[in-house]
Amino acid sequence: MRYLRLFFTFFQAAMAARMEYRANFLAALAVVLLESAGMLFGLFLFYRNGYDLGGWRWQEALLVMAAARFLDGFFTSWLSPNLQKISERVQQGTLDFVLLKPVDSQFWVSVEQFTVWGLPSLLVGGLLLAYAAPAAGANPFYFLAGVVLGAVLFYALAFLMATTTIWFVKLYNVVNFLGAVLWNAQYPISAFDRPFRLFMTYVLPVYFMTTVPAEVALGRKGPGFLALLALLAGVFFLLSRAFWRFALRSYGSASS
Amino acid sequence: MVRWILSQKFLAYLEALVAQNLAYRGELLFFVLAQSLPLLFLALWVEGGPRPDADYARYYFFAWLAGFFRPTGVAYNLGYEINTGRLSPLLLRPFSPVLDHLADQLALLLVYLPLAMPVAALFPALFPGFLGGLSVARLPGYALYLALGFCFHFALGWLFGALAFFLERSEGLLEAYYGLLYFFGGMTLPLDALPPGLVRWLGWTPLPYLVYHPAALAAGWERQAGYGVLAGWTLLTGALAALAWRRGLARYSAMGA
Repeated sequence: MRYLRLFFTFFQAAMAARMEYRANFLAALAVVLLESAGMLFGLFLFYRNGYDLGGWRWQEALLVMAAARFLDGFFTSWLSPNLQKISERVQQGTLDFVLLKPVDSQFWVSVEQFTVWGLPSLLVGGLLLAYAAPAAGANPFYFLAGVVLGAVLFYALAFLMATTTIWFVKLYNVVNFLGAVLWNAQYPISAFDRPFRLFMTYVLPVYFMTTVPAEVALGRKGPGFLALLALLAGVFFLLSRAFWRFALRSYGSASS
Repeated sequence: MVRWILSQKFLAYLEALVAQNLAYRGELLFFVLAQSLPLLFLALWVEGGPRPDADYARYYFFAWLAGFFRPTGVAYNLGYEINTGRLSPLLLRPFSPVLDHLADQLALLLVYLPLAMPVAALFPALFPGFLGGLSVARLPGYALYLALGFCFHFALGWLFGALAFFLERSEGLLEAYYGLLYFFGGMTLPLDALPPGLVRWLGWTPLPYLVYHPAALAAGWERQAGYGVLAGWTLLTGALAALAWRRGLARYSAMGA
């Protein structure tokens, strides 16, 4: 409960600071719409040439893209600014201030920051879902449940990577790398070459973040797959907590 | 300014920055990984595109390599210095803080390129016929594009960084620019797949000259030269950046300035 209140306090503070810049927000909206149009067109190109990304109909592939837009919005608005801030705190030694607070430190560094840049992506994701789910005969509830679990999994992976900043000190490029990962997540995994497919399933589980929610919603995979996704997300989440605690032991703070 | 760049001091400074950047190994690793975007699109087009595999391999190889010549982080770092007041002590030195970032980007280039080599070596191994279509004669044209692209992105970073004098945050806009570059620059899909009308229109923007035209030229797909448009955009962006920088410095009021 206390954590929920704290989350809203952070959120309000960040919103108050950002919403003053409405022009920025409008610009972001325009650019995200343009970018999404580009993504849609890129997808359409494959279908125009009669290639179906490994057996996905157009509306079905749009579902995967919707999931990727949701994740992108989550990433841009919450994950990316917070992960950058962790690196900044380690560089300057201000992580000390967080560690001294009577609040779980992983929680603090994960939700402290927020930007509005990702909101247009969420909007586009919602529009895509509203069109594609009825058109493809997909179950939107399974889909959204899958996307939320996918977001947890993505958070855990991103946090695991960002935690290594404790040793590397400067690690802003993690954010760039994760952005590149999300760009790939917009296509069904069957569209890729086999080696990449294996990589994106077993090494970097992008498959579970966008393709699986769409597959379950379409009934290609049973709802049991959501349970598997939940298990995977849960395991990675616990792993990220354990790793954060382990990393903090190596943190040479500014004051000690 | 130019004399300073050509001086011995600049070389010594560059050397120090190379050493400094080598210290952050995690950053280097993730930078190389973050450049992998064109490679994953290569995996996509090899599965579904109409051209032979080796053609796509060559195109995406050069599109990927161009990424290493694209300064990133200039806007973020400059904006950070401005917002936190760290710029103040830097202004006391006998050269512009912008040169720091230029030297830093050049140093990063020297650090990144050797890291790219092992990945580059994979291409001939993975795609038989990759080397067959290469021609050394096309490389100077490619290199000129990359050099212009480096200048353009540096100027753009300078401009957006200088905007921090006036706005609180502007790097979100720059991120959005990269989104456009991915699509309309040719990083994710070769532009000849887009409708010709759109491509003609895009020809007036700097985007296609940053990835598509250099890669298509080096891969032997086309011979079109559009250096003029990119040079024009670079000059324009550089002039705007210099103007914003001077105006910004005039109203900068962080501690000690």
